[in-house]
Amino acid sequence: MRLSSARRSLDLKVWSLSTFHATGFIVIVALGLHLCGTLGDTLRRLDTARGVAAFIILWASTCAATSWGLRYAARPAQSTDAFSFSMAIAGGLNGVAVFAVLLAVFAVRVATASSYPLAAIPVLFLSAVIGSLLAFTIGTMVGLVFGLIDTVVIRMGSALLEWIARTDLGTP
Amino acid sequence: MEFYQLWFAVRYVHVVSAAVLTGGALLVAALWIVPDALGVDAALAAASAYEWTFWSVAGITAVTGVSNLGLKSEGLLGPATGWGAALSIKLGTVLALLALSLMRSDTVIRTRALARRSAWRLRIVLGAAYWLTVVMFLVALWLGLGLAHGRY
Repeated sequence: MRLSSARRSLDLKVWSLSTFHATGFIVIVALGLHLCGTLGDTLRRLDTARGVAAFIILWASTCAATSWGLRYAARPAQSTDAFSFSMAIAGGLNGVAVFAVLLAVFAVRVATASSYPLAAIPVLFLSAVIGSLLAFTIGTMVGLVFGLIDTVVIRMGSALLEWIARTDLGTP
Repeated sequence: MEFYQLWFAVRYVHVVSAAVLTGGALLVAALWIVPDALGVDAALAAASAYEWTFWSVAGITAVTGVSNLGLKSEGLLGPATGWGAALSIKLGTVLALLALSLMRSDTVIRTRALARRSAWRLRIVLGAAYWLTVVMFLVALWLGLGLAHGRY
């Protein structure tokens, strides 16, 4: 029973953190594009179905990456490392996962549209190598930013929790 | 359903999901300020159920919100206009709301695991967190309605 309760808490932690990362990311991107004046042009290139599908893929991969990051941060050997470091690596893996999906979609489109699909293999291979490195770097930076935000938010929560746990003064 | 109808569903899913999140926060907030409404353990269970709902529906609300912006297409005005400034404030409010919600969820998760806790302090902290959530939702809803109906 206790194990089941702890498991549910862990799952809610993964769910809340990963959804915070995925939704926070798209809101920050939307705000950034809006402040640059390019939000309308960017959204015009996406239709509703593709946009929703892209977000579902991002949400799923962020959930898997955050779950991995939390388990990595909880390992005894990592106890001295910063939580944000684990989230940065998870962000890098998330970036590669999202890129892999985009590349797979591109590969399928090339394979179905081209008369000589095998000729595209070298280009796809080169794109996979360079793109995954780039995606890992960008994902790591995004993950680090979110890891730092998580750290600040969780520390504020810890201060509140310490106050809640003090029962020595009793009820006023 | 054909994709040309999807935009219509997206618009109303956004409204319904925002209503579910605001109404749920209001309900849980009320539970924390009425001492005899529920015991602390039951109120924490209700808060935990809301947190699951919140994070499940928040993703849907965010993606349908961005999708609704895409539907405005040419109607999206720059950040220097009144409409654009309202959109900037709304997106900033949503970000702040997400950060507050992460802290609220984390507090609910860790409080449930505490062996000893002060009931009245818990009521103050979670009551304030849920009421602040309600206020921020109402601000975001007010701005969203203004953006959708050209008030700015």
